[in-house]
Amino acid sequence: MTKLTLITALALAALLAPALHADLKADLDAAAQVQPGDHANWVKARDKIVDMGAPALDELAKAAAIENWTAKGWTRALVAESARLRIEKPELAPQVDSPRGIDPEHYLKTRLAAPVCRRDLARLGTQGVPLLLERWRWTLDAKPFSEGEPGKAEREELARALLAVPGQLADSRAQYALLLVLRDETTSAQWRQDAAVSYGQCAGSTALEPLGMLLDDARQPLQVREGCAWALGRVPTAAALDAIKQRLNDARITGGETGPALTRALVNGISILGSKWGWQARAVSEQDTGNAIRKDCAELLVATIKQQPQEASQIADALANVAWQESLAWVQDLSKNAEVTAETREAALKCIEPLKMALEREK
Amino acid sequence: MGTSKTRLLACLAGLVVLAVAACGGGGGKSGGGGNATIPGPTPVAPVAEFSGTPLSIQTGQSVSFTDLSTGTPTSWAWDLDGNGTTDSTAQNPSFQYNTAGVFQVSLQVTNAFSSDVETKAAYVTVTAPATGSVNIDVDSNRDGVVNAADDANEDTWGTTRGAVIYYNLDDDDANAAEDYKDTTASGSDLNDLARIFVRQYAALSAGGSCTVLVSGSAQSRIRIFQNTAGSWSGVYSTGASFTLPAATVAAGDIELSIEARDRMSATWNGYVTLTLEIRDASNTLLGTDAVILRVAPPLMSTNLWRATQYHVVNIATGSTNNAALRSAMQTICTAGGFQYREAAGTSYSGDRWLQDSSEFAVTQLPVSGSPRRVVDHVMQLARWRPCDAWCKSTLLGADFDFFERFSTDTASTNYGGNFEVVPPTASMPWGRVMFGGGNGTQLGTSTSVNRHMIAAYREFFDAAAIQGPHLEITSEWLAVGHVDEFTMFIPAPNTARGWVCLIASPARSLTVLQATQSAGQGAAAVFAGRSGYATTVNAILADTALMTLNQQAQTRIDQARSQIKAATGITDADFIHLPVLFEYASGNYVAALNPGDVNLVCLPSANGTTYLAIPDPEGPDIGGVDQWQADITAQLNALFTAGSPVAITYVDVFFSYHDLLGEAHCGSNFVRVPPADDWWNK
Repeated sequence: MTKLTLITALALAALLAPALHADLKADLDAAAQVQPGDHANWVKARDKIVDMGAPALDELAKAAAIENWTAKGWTRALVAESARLRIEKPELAPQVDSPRGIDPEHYLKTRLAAPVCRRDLARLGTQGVPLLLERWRWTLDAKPFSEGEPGKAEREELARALLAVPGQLADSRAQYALLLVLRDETTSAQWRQDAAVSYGQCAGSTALEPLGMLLDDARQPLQVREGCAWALGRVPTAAALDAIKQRLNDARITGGETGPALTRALVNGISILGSKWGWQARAVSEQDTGNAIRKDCAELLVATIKQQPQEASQIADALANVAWQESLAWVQDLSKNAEVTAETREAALKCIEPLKMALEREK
Repeated sequence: MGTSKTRLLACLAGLVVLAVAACGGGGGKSGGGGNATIPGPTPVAPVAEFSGTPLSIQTGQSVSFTDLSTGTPTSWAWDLDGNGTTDSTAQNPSFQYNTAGVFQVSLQVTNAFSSDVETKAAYVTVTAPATGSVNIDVDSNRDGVVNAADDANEDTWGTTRGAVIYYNLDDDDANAAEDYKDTTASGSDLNDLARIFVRQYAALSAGGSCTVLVSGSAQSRIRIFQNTAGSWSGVYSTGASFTLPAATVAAGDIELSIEARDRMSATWNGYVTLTLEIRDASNTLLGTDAVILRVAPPLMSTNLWRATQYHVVNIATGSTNNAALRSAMQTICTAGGFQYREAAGTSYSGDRWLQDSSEFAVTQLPVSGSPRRVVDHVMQLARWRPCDAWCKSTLLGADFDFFERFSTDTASTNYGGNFEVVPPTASMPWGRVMFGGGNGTQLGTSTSVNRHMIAAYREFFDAAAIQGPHLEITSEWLAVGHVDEFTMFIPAPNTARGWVCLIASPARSLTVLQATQSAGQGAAAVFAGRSGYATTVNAILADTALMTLNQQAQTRIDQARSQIKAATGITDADFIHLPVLFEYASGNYVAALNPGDVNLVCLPSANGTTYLAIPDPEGPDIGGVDQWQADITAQLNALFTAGSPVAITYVDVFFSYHDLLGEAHCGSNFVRVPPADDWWNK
């Protein structure tokens, strides 16, 4: 935007401010009410706002302020932010509206020759998240995919990326949209699983209760329950570890047909929650908390060897990721403990080499 | 050989036996129960048994028989030629057989109590005396000619003996098809066929027969031609055997030639046993002779072999053009004396992944007058993308094999990038093929993933048993899923082993980034100038999700390292850790975040220098020095010597390959020269 254009726009905005304010408010309300998937009406409603151009930017920014991203108000905030991005950073939206990762012209050049979207959308950063949510909610099918199986793969890849990336970027604004997906029993289990993980990353401690409820609900698809277990590990708190521990000790979760899979999912949750590198990436002020959680994670994993020795591979992987120095001695002791079963000793033995390698490189 | 026994319970007069059981073989004992026994001698029935030696003789020779019966027989009646009459009553007779055939032998033994008969069917084989020798010869001593020196131990394949045959995959007649598909043999193609001689059997009468039996698993997998006055015609392609005219066998030696026309697999290990049988007019077997042959396996090249050609697809235009790689490689090829060859991208719809479409090898065959014959070999992988056609259309020709893809499966784990060869170790002198795959999980999940190189390729190398059994290391967690995304073997003349395994290391990346940050350079750009990609050291190190993911990737790479160590005996000191980070690419599958420097081009040259074209990792830049590059260069330089130096070129593959989920190695392929050694001697 040139200086002259900006001055003109600001002058125009000042002149039209009262009318714009009223119109914009109504238009935001109307757009927010467009039913999910109704891309035709959504695009009309959205473009009506976008067409207001630069004069609307301030009002849109206010409407999209972080405090407006609430359980009740998030769709309106989303409308505002999406429109604001389309006005202020017009180069972003095409990357979501027409991602190259689902364009055969591009993806057939890749080594996989298959749709690949997630990394491209993640590179947009948190600024792109509202556009991802918009695409998920209203315009997933706004543009046709390829015919047949390739088209199905494109749609699946796009949808999964739209769900996964907000969590990968830990954008709390996405939590409400993700929770809707997670709870929607008409949605595919795969998408709900992706939404679960992403929700855990976005919502923080708030996520523990919904995730726990769905994990405990035996009527839910296993895939969704697994996703919830993984997601617990994405909430970096001691309470999340307690939630995992409680369920590892609950025969209703670890028993029966789905027990082994859910046990592995919970162990995976510990692996993520206790990740040494993950905690290193957090602020200095969080390191003490991280160390306490990692120690507890390591202890819980060693205890799980005794309870679930058949899951030694998954536990070994998790112990290596937690990389808690003392855990090697614990596992070594367990591998020689005559009071535990031979299966437990064998499982402990299996954990030693990966753990040693991890600790060696962490020195 | 069958045996039968007829127990003749002839309870003889003079015995007072009330218990029938007492007439059995075990001997009766008086005692309680309801049977009243009058005391008398304990009855012991005889049990006939015998042996003879030798059991395979020629007419006019004798067999000595030994009575092994129990129960103290007092008389013996031998029917030694199976005609129903007694030929001898001696206890241990010798019998001369004057007619050829297979004979049944019976012995009846008798004592005071009873008698017993032992019959052994088809017990003695008598062949006619050799008026000529039944003889089939192949190049058992691998000197390239077939002569009397090949006769010894010709039916056993080992490091010193055993003939070699060729899977005729080249195209001598330039008909754009592999020669094994041809039903005729002529011209220079005859040089590809191993010779077999069925030696003259002058005494074979017109009604006689000469049959060559083909061992079961090799049936229909070989083709044999017969030379008739310089013209070669097919005599075998399917079935259990083929015959040669008796008159021809009687008239002189018959020259045959053989090729393989199928690959080794779970049901065929490449061995062929040919058994010659000659029979007279009465179908009497006059003699047999057997030889063994083995199909030469392709020896897959390793990065330690000297390179002669470099191949790349020319992607001339567009934002993903590979001009930078092509330019760098032309310079390297000039310096190293390698032939630089381009395939036109327009011919292959822009498909640039040459490494994935094919793997190079050689086939070595014994030949007269030189140590060995070496045929170049290109193996097409099961991929089914446009540039798969390149290797056949460009390379197939005289002395250049084309080995067509085995399967219609298109999974990326079948591509050539998922195929590397561990250099030679003490137990695997030609190295060991290594594929990526496994039954693991996607990173960050507990979702099971089972991805492997397709069975046909695994089974091929396992059956060939030269560079197999294959080694599989975990790669199922990667989006593409290839071993070359995180491992590469290169020469290392400054080490005791002579080679090392380069391995991608998120931990190494982290160490360099942390050092950069500690030096106050956390704001340094990574992927500087790459719009939409550029980031900073601080941003990477503060990305919790990215760091968590990379620790999981490191754990998987450690697992792969353990697998390689366990399978090959190499140690931690043999791994060189190069900085590579990973990111989620698609779903929960990952790919390299920075251009994957492990995925490099390695070209040892005749001038002693090893040329490495390494994807530029585009790491943090401090004062014009890329910190990842500096780390790589320092580690690699230490592996080489002044006499055997390394020349490192960092190549920009950011958009041409890396952004398309591959790197420099993925887009390249190489023809190499094997060491001067023979696979059959090891």
